[in-house]
Amino acid sequence: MSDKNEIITAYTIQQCNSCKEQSKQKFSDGDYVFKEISKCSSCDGQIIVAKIFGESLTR
Amino acid sequence: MDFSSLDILDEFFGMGDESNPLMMLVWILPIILFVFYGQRIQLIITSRDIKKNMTKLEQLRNESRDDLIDYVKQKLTPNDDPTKKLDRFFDYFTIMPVDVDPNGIIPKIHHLVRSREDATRKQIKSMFSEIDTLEITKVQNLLEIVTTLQLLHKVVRHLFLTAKKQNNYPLIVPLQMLLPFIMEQAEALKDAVPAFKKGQPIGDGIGPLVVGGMMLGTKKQKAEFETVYSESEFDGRKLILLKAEGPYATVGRPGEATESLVEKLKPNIIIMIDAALKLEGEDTGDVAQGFGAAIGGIGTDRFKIEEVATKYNIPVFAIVVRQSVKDAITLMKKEISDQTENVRNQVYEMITDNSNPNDTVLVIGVGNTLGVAQ
Repeated sequence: MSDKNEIITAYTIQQCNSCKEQSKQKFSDGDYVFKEISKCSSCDGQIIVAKIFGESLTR
Repeated sequence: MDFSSLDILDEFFGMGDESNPLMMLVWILPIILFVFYGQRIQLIITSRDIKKNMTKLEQLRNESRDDLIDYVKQKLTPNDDPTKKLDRFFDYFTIMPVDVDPNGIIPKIHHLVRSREDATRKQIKSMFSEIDTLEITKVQNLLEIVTTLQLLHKVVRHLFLTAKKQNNYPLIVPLQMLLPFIMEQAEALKDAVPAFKKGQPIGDGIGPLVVGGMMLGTKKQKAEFETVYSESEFDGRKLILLKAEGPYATVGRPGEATESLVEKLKPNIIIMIDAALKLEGEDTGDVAQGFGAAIGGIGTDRFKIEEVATKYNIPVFAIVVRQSVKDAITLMKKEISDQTENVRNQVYEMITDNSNPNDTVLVIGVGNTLGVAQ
C-alpha cells in the first residue's frame, strides 16, 4: 500500500559529456534522458540530460 | 439485616451449580449459533472488508479514467469529445487462443497481441487530426492502465457478488486472500499515471537506460517497429546494441528484432538487461546476474529469443535490477537510477569474461523506454 505522506519530486541531472560537470534541477516538461541541452560554458562540450529520477520526502 | 452473605451471581446464575438451566443456555446458545451460522457471520465480517476495498478500487479506476480524459482534452487536440470513444476502449477484451492443444499457441498469442496493439494505435490516431508518436504511445499506455483497473474492479465485484448471492463463505476466501495483492497492483497502476502523462522514465526503463548510454554517438538503425539498434566496439569485440526507440512509451519488439539481428549478424553471446521483481526483504536497486532470457510480458518475446538462441547455440546472459511492481511502473527511483553505471560496468565485465576478441556480442536493453532516448 502506498504511503500517503510520501511526496515524490522528479529531478533532472544535466551533465557535460566532456568535463563531466553536473547540475541538478527540478524536472521540467519535455525533459528526457540523453536530450541535448546546450554547449558547456566552461569547456564547450555538450551538456545532456544524464538522469531523471524521483526522490521521496516522507512527512 | 445482614447482606454480607448475599451473592447476586450465585443467586441468579448459580455459578457454583452446574445444573442451572439459564447458565447452560449462556454457553450452549453461542455454540449452536456458531455451528449453524458461523460461515454466515464470517461472510458478513469479510464482506465489509471486501466492500471497502471494492469502493477504493472503483475510486482508483474513476480517478485514472478522469485523468486520461482530462489529459486528452487539455494537452492534445481531439477532433471531437473523446469521452464516449475512450469509455468504449476501457471495455475492450481479449479472447486468448484455445489451449486444450497447446502446440503452436505462441504464434497465435503473438498475432493476437500485435493485432490488439495495432488496432488500438489506429483508433487513437483516428481521434486526432495531428498527434506525434510520443503522445500516441503515452495515450496507449494510459489506456492500458485504465483498462486493467476496470478489469480488476469488474472481476473483484463479480467474485464478491457471486459469493454473496450464493451465501457461500468458501467462495469468498480466495478473494480475501488475493485482495491485498490486487490492491497493491491497483495502487501501483494509479500511481503510474503522472509519470506517463509527463513522459518521465519509469523503473522498468533501467535496461534501455543502460543500453541507451552505450548507444550515444553511434549510428542508430531501425531494427523493428519502435525498436532501434546500433553497432559499437569494446575491447576488440563487435557490439550490437538493441533497445526500444525512446523517448517513446514503448517496449518495442525485442523478440522480432533479436530474431532478425541474430540471423543477420550471428552474435556469439547475448546479454539482456532488464528490471526484475524483487522478493520481500530485498532492496530496490539490487543488481543480480544470471542466465536465460531476461524479459517479461506475455511470453512471446522470450519464446522467440529462446528459440533463436537455441537454434544457433548462443548462450544468453542476464543482468537484472530488482524492484517492486510499483517501482517498475512509476517514476524511476534514485536507487534504481544510481545503478546505471554499475550495471554498465557489469555488462562490460560480462563481455570480457564470456567472449573473445573479434567475437560479436548482442546487448539488449529490455523494458519500457519512456523518457529515455539513445
